[in-house]
Amino acid sequence: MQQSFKHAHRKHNLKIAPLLTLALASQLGASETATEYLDPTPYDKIWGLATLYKDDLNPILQEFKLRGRYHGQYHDVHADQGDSGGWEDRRSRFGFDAKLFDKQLEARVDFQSNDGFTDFYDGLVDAYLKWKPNEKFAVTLGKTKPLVAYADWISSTNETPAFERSQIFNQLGINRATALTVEGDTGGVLWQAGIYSNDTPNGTGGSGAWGDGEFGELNGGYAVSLGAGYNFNHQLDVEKALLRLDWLHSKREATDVVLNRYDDIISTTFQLKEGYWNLTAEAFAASGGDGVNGDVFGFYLQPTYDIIPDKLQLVGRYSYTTGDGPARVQAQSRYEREVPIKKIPGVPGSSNRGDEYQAVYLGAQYFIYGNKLKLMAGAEWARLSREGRPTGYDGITTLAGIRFSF
Amino acid sequence: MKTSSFATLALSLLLAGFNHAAELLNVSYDPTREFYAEFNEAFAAHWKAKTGEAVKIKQSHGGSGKQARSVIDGLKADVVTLALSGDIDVIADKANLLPQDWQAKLPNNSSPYTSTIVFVVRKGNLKGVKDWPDLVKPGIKVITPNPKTSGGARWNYLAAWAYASRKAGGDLAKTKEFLRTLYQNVPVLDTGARGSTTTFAQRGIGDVFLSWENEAHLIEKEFPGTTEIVIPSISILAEPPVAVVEKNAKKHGTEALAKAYLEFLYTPEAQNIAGKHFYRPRDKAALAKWSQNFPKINLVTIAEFGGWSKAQSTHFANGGTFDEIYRK
Repeated sequence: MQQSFKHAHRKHNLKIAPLLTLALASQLGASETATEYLDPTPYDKIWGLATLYKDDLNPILQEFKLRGRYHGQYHDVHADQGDSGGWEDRRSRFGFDAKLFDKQLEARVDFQSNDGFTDFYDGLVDAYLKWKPNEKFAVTLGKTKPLVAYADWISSTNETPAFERSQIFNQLGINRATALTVEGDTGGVLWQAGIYSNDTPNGTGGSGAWGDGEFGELNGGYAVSLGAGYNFNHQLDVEKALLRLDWLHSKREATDVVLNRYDDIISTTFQLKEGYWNLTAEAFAASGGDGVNGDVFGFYLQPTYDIIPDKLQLVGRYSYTTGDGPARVQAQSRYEREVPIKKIPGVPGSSNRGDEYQAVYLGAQYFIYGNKLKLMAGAEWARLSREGRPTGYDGITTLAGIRFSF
Repeated sequence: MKTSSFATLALSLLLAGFNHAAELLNVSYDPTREFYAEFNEAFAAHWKAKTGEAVKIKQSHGGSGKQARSVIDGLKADVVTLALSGDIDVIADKANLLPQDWQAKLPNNSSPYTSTIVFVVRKGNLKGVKDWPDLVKPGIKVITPNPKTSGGARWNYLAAWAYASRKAGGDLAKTKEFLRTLYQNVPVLDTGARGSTTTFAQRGIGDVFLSWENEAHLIEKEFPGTTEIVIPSISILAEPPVAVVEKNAKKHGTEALAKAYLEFLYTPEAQNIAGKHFYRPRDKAALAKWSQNFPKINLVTIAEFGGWSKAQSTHFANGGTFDEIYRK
């Protein structure tokens, strides 16, 4: 064994001279061909396994593809009000996409497991049919996202660069609803309209049973949305400069479970992309709520910079929210509310609330296979202020996690 | 001895580490694979002689429309060499990765070579295919890719349309009926021209293959004695364009290299390689040299269809004439 190793070692020594020659030759480019072909990567092949059926010639079904995702993350909160931490399994979803009838009809069904997999089935997430007769018009019927907050909500959380959506979005009470939406592109002007059922359940509520977390009964309040946008990329000579304005008006009823906090929500979004840089700026104004859900205004600015294109991205975000009363603004449920934020004396329903919120997030994403498999890490400082009173929350949350989807 | 070995190894690794050849990604369409393999060698030698810098060209090939979509979706092409200008227009329009006047950046509307569409039939042409009307006869199996994803397929479709429209005296219904009948004879719609070549030449499916002229000659070389080329009475002048994807090149620091790469396509050396690979060179000397490969054909141009933007929306967009006539 020992001899064999020595022999091998000697052989390696002898191979060093050719290695040098090879390196020199390589340096000179003398022995290489100039062409290299881009072939599917092992990741492409593995992810391709999710496409169970594909045949463009089938007149009925052209493609059937499984969908799934998992987000796991560790958090560690250090705040003046206390500490907290732990691992969380979340956003676990399974389902399928199907393309039918010359790919003009798309069907998507996703169901979710609740956080921590307590119930494997915890209701439907997306469950809709989308008719898209051409690239500039689409009608969607089923359980889907209300069309407001284009960046922080409409974009998939698989693609969002920070762990959590912004504080201002998270306090608006927006979630998926049974809906009929229409989207179009007329001469470059993007537009949308939709109508939503406010009694759409977002989960089974822990029953894990069919019938508790799907489309609802359509007998609660309803909401409507209107919106428009335009990509000014040619005017600004950048890759993307999308400006959007979206409005959601809700006719709320007492039994509503979604879109039930405010009468009106307006969001305006600006997304800029050029070279290594991306910038998303999104502002919200919400009004007409009851009690502590009084009028609020907030925005966030979220730049990203590609340190290594397609591999490593630096992410920043500044968030600001203010309200017109002492308890109009709430702390983030992930994970600021894990530490005890005291009630404001004399203000009902003011637990976890204040009148101004600011946060700064700094993190990074490492893309193993684009947004389909990536590692994330970051830290967010946040403060929930209470004018004339002791601060509600002041602390730093450190996060690390993995996002996987197919 | 041991020390010197380690020193040598370290030096080797150091040199290997510094061996950073400049890289360029050329996103191209299916049938250019062999042409660019040879062209890249010539360009690399030229670049090395001119600058002393080694260069590696990464090639991606696929259906032209699909390749354009990939660039829009993030494939970091430094240059695109696609089958038709409409596909590059879409990249300029949707992603603003290059200026909308990209076609004015290089000579001949940024099209360094041309081609056309011909028929490839089995040796002996037992089905007697001579011209377009033979493709709509019962029992004939025609191989052509999907115009939704393949640039070559769109040229095929328009060439057939040009014939049918003339035959029908401009009658739109009759023209569509001709195309409908023709596509009823298509048993497989591959996503790109190379896929259709495989279907016809390797899998042995079909009686006639609507092919890029260069691909037709390549089949003759690869499968000698098994096929014949038939020149139809009318075909279309295909002008495959090239462009620097300026914003990607700027990001990668390859602007000068990408520009030089495409400009080199117009040199006599590259034009000669184009002719050798059965692309019709723009350079007169190269064209004369390879003229035996390029019979005179009555060719219509894309202008007859109002340019690529109009042709795309009329025929190949969702709800266009192709969707209308192609119902299985």
